[in-house]
Amino acid sequence: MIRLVRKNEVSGYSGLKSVAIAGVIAFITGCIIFGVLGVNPLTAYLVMFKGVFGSFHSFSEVLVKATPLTFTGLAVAVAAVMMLWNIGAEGQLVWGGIFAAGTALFVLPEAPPMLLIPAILVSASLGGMFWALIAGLLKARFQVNEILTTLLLNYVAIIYMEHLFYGPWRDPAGFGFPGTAQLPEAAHLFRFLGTRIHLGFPLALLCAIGLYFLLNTSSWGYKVRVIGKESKAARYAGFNVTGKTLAVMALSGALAGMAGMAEVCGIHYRLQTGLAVGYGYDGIIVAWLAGLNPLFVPLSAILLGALFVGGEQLQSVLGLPSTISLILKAALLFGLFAGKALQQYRLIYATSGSRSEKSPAGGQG
Amino acid sequence: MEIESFFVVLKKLRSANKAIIFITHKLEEVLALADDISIMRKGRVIISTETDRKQISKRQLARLMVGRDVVLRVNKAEIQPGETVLRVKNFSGADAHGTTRFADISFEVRRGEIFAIIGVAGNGQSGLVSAITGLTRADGGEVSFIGSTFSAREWANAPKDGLAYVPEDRYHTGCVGPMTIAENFALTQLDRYATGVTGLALDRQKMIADGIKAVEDFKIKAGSADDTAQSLSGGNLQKVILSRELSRNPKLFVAEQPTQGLDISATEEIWQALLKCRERAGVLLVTGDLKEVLSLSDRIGVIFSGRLLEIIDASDSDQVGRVGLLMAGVTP
Repeated sequence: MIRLVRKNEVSGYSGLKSVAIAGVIAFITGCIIFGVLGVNPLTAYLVMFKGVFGSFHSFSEVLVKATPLTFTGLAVAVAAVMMLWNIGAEGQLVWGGIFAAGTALFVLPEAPPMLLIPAILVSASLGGMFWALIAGLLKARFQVNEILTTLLLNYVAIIYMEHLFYGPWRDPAGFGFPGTAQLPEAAHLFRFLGTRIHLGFPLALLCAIGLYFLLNTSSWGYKVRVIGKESKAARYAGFNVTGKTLAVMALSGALAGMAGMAEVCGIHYRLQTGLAVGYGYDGIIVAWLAGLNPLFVPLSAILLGALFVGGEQLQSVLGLPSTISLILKAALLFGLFAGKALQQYRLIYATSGSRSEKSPAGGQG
Repeated sequence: MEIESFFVVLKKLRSANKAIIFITHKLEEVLALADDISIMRKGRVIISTETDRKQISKRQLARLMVGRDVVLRVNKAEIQPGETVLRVKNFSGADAHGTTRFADISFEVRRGEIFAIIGVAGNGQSGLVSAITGLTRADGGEVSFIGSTFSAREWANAPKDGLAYVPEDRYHTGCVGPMTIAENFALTQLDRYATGVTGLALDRQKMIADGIKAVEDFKIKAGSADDTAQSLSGGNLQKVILSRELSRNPKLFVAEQPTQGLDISATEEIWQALLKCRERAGVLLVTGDLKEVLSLSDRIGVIFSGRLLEIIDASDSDQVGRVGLLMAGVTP
């Protein structure tokens, strides 16, 4: 008879194991889907692999996708370190985009890049911060569940953005197409090596490194980690939980806002449909795949980016729906949490009647 | 009274031939209700008996409940108490849940003495401790701490440098389980590890050094200062917390149930540490363990249903015998 027994300790490699379990579950799920669609899973995976690593250009597209994912992944991670669930990176991303576009189009339209780019970075983070703080204040002041508020505010943000580019901000010379005018050239982020990889990518890496040091070497980060791990101990030590809740939500929103800025000023050059494509929600997967460690966030963002680019290849080469990558993504997240849950337990084979407990090799997962 | 109508209900149930298990530490209730009595102490049933009012008195019940364990002899040096560190006057409030109240509590703790507050769990002492340590806000009375006097309201937010506190819940309040011993060493003294130009960074090396020193000084059984707190046994964890709080050089040291659930050797080490701390600070010991109080304290305040019944000098051997009875609310 097999029983699940709760373990007292989680082993040190638990994070890696979760990722491995998630990978295996996603892989198997993919095999089943491909099989059902009548395609040899190996062929399909090969197409995805080639689509990602086949050429420098295709891989550069992975990094393009990894840029906003790194920002939103960091946004979700910093909140989750304090056990705050920011499901609203999507809406904060949108507000970052709105502020970035607004600054470039209406506030400083004539400014040179040296002035405009910093102004855009600041305003985009303020935009995301402002949106996240609505949920942050409700949480800190009235204990309103931040999962609900951040999630619901996403819809408000997206509708408001649509109002802007369908209405007051619509390009007068745009032949009626929804979208703002193109941003002035000075607002376009520098692109590298003839690809679409732009300044946002190294910026995201810098944010990851900065966040790592902030969380792990500063006394501010220490307090945030204590609050997340053991709120009773934080109160005992006299930490200001309310203040940290606001600060962490603000930082989280600012990071998500940078994702919106990166998309608007690095890729689209205008505010239009296609900004809110789910990078905010994907940030949740990126953050947990990275074990909430900011240094691993860019890696898991690249992995997810590769999944998206590979998924597009399935469509163009094999004629399969590219939404398969959504299923793989979901399987990855489920696998990750299943792995985490399973590691709190131990498999025990016991013959009924006898109490002998034998833990088989590899039974830890 | 609610309790009386509750008793009526219980008696009705009994006459309807139902069995009732009634768990309490109030002797009057036991004698008013019970047909059979079991006394539990430290997780064991000490005695089970049928009530025969002629055989068992309130006094005997109290003895059995509190226990009369042999006092362990500890080396307790004679110290002349110094200045008053903490004075609490007409202090009233409730615990964090607002359910158990304490009222009109007055006492003082002087440098060089261990002042014990003893009581059976649930008599208001946990609320009293959290109000004294500033975790909750009392609603009446005043507190004097090293010469400054505060109202109950002011005290909750007043700076409490010089007050160290070992909380009852060592697993979730006193430490952060998934963090290392070294990191836990900084929990209540982050200022000490501030470094860098801005003072906003933490000196990890110093944290580790202090963690290692604590592991050596207190003979904590741990692989290294990088072991997580939750990997330690209860006794070793308590020694980490105790050494952290002692290293803050407190003027007032508050220890709440410091040896609860620990084995004898860990208990004795912690007792020795408290006695040593007494040499330079005032110690407020809050416990339900009579043996601990009789071994360590200089003065004993007995708390019962939220009130400090009496303060007894530990050197007065005639009076000390009454502590157990007072704990059960038996006043002459």
